Amino acid sequence: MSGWALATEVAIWTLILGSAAVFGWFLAEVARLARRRDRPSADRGEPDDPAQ
Amino acid sequence: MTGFDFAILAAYVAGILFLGWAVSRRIESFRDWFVAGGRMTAPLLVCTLVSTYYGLDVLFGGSEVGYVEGVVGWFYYLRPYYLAIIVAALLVARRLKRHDFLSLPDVAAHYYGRGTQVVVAGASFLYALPLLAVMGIGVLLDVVLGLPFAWGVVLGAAVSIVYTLMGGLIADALTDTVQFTLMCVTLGIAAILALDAHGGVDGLQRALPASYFDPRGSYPGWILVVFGLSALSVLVEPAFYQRIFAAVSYRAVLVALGIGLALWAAFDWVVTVLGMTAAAAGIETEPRYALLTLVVEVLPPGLTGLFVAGVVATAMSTIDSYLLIAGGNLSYDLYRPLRRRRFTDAEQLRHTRAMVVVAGGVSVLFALFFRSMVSAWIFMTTVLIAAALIPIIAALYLPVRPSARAGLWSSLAGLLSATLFYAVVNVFGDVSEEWGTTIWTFSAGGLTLDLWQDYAVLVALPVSGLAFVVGQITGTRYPSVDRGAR
Repeated sequence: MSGWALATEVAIWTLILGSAAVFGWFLAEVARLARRRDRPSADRGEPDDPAQ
Repeated sequence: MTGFDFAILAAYVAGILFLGWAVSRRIESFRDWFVAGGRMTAPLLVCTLVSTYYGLDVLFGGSEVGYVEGVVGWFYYLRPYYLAIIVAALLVARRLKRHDFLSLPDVAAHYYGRGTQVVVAGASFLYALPLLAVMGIGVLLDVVLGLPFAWGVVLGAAVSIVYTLMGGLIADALTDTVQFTLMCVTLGIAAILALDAHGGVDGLQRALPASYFDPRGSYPGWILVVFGLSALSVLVEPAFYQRIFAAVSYRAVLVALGIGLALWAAFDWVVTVLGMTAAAAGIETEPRYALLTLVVEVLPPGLTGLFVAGVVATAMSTIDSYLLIAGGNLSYDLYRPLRRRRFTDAEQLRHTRAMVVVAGGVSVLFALFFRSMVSAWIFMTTVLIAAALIPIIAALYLPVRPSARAGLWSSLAGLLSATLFYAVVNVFGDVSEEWGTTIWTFSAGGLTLDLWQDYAVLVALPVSGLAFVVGQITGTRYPSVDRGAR
């Protein structure tokens, strides 16, 4: 396999798996925000998780 | 396309409209609508950054260069952006997060006052008009559905306007997430199938001339410099700034840009290779249609619908983001400072929404007049760089405070010289069918020179820099900063 072919394989799978992983991360984030909204502390305007 | 494909496309459009409606019920203030209340976390930022920058200009423009010239499309047209993004992330974003800005012209107003704010807002408005994406939807619906180009343009813009009006940046970010995933996955699958049908990359090397695999291609050296300079637009990119202001923290910006870079590089490479695959397959079409024609040929029913939805998504994620910015430029940056009475928050929200509709209308008009994508893109980045780059970067990094005159002169001189250059080349030059742009060929002192209209930035940037220096020497320091107007 040439360098060009290898670069193309890497690019295609980065695109497919990378975007799927980010989508999963996004869903987890939505779930986290939903849980946070349910907590009473959210009403007091406490800051987000600094890691985010 | 089969009935199943149409059903998928219809479901997608209905879904994003529903999402916009659902989000609109939670919007309480202008800040909520325009910068998502400044609470966007890394996952949302990744999706909105990646999909906003990746419109049909990259999909069709990148594949167009790949189809005609080969890998130079990735190495010189697209790769400089990654370097500019790294600089923007490490140097510009950190400084911007220290302030309470909402837009790029806000930054100009803070350092230089109202005059520079107006010039930068005008340039930002022109840059932000999503006419390339609107044109792309027109082309797509024409090729796939046989819908007249003008109707496709109006339909695509109308759907984007409706859901941008409803939900603002947060709806934009949520739909961007769906759009981003659709776009990446369908393009990846299309690349696998298209390459498989044409002997893989090794097959392309056998079928195409060796120049297709030369990183420099056959472009003149100066146009490669122009491609590189156009990447500087990232440093003053309104959508980039808006997302920095919307981010919950600087760290979220860094994480989003790091992940975005990997995905952008992969996306660009796949698009370039698909353009080359179309050339190797012997597809005879306009270069900008090459990718679409190839992919529709190789994908099976169902996946074609998903791909078309992905392409529509690519365009719409750009249209909604930039309509928001262009509407904000008109209302928040241009009209608001001229009013005697300040807007209430509700008035600001209502007025900016109205200006989003105006920006959409102007985009449709432009889209119906212009055709060449790469040249149009270079023009838009030139306008933005000429008016905003020197004053904004100088304000952020000069050890002394720049004068108001330096900012105004720099932005005005840059904008006027770029416009003048384009006007002169278009008056005296001719359209080149080979390069798809206007070139003025003239002789001086025994030398024959080819002046491309795209060289405008090579003139405008030094003029803007010189005007800044003169303004700084002759001007006085801007006395105070009106932070209360925000």
